[in-house]
Amino acid sequence: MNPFLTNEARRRGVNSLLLILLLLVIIFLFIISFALGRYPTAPRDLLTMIGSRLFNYSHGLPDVLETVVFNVRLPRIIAAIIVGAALSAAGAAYQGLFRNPLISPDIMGASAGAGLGAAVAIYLSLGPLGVQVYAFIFGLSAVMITYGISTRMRSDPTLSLILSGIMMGSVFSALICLIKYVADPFEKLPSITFWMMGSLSGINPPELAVTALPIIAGTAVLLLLRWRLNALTFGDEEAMTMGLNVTWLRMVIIVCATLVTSAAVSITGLIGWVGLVIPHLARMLVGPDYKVLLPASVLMGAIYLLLVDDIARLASSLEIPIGILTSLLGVPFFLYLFSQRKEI
Amino acid sequence: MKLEATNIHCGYNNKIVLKGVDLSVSTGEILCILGPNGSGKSTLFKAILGLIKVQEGRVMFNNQSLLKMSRSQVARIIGYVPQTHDPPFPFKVTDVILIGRTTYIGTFSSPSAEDYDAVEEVVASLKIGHLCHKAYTQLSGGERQLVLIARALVQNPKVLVMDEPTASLDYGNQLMVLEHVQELAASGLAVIMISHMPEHALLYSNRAVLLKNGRIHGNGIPEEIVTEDNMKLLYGIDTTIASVTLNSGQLIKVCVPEQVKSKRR
Repeated sequence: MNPFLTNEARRRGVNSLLLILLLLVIIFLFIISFALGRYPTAPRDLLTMIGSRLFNYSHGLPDVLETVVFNVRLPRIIAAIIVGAALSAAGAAYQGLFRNPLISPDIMGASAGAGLGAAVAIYLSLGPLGVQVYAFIFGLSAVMITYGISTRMRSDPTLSLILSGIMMGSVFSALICLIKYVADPFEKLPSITFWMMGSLSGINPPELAVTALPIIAGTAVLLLLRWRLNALTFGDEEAMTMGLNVTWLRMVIIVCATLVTSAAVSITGLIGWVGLVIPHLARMLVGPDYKVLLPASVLMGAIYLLLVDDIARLASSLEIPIGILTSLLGVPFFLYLFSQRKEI
Repeated sequence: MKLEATNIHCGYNNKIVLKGVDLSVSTGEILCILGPNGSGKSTLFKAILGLIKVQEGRVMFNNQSLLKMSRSQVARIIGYVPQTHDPPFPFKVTDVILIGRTTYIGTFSSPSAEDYDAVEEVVASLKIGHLCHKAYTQLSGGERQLVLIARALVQNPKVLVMDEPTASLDYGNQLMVLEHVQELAASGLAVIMISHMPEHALLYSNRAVLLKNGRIHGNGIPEEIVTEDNMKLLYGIDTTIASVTLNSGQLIKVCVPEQVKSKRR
């Protein structure tokens, strides 16, 4: 075989290996995460309980342990995995689509928009599905407005997009404050405020089910289209001359990335920085080719949020909302990455 | 095989940029488009590539209308080589070239062995194997241009459309790229290129088209239409078109500006 093809085959092999490795890390963390917290569950007990559920036999372990595992910890771990995966996938997709390594669901206004939508839905006492739908509509509008404004700015496109994102973010934060101000201070206000902080605690199985569906569907579409993102990073005109229907492709990717972001926001509140830091980290590990980058971002996002959630659970008896932690960890981490590389 | 654009009118919003432009190029030919900035050269390219709406006129390839084809079909006929640029991400050269295979790869798929073979073939023919493991962003201008040519070639096009292939290249790299372009034409491609250098028409092209204010001011064999009068008309400068005998004995024409002030001695 000639050296070029051998080399390329080896490169693909290394990348597949890395992805498998990341998957193994998730499985490991998944099991470990059950053992952490106020009711530690040993892997053996966990297996026993899962077996007893599957094959319907009595496990002889305390009932409270079973409740903790299936109604509290399992939903929480799954939520950490899918939310981390969703935010990172959306971040990586936005970065490729808008040809800008410095944007994320937060900066595009998707998170703040979805946040406003969810706050309105909570204010109006709509159920989990209502929160979901409102978050998506507001998130999508936010991204469209942010992008629309940036294309009208006569300045460096990278900068314009970030600037218009910051402005939209500010507008949405103000509107969220307005909702809080008019919300019933004894009932609605605390629930909006706590939800805003970003937390994975208190997720219940039905809520999770409503959220998991759009996240899994949106991420799956992004993963299917991932190789085409490479062409989009070279600009619309070039992508068109290579035979892509750019308008359609852009629309599908924006809708999917915003769908998964808003679904994540509607269940966990604002968890910042994941969608910016993780795609960068993934790019450092596997390079910019979306064929590998997007799955790597998905896996690493899941790993990151699982880890941070474990820290949130362990750090103190009073649980710290995860959104606070991701910001406290994400910002210095990003600054470190930024200072390490000339080219991001 | 022949690409033929007839009576092209097009523009942006209400502003008409091209006012009835004709050109044609056949397999094996290099067509050079000369014209001052703002003459409509890039718009003409966009019209041919189907990137903007053509208000009037036809773009035909072998008697089939390109304007009625899907993007994917056009991509199999015309390969576009843009000016070199800085992409936002440091893609490996192989990955950049693979993108040219888009039209052959299903919407939900990634490149297959067949696509890697196509890349390997083009890489070998352009002799850029040593670049493949590098990041595109680390390459020099000349190397980037070759990679963009490779990316267009893996589309298996019949026509190559090149937007100033020598822009921002040093002297040696300009000649290197132009020689590659000649080889490509000889291997059975029709090439259309935009240039700012009358020499590119005189030395490398089979035909030249002179474009100014969206109209054609000359279309034919370079030696016949790249004249002192036409250069004055296009660029507003006086030039001398001189015949030069190369050391090899070949007789060629060159274009030199007249306004050269005598240098201090």
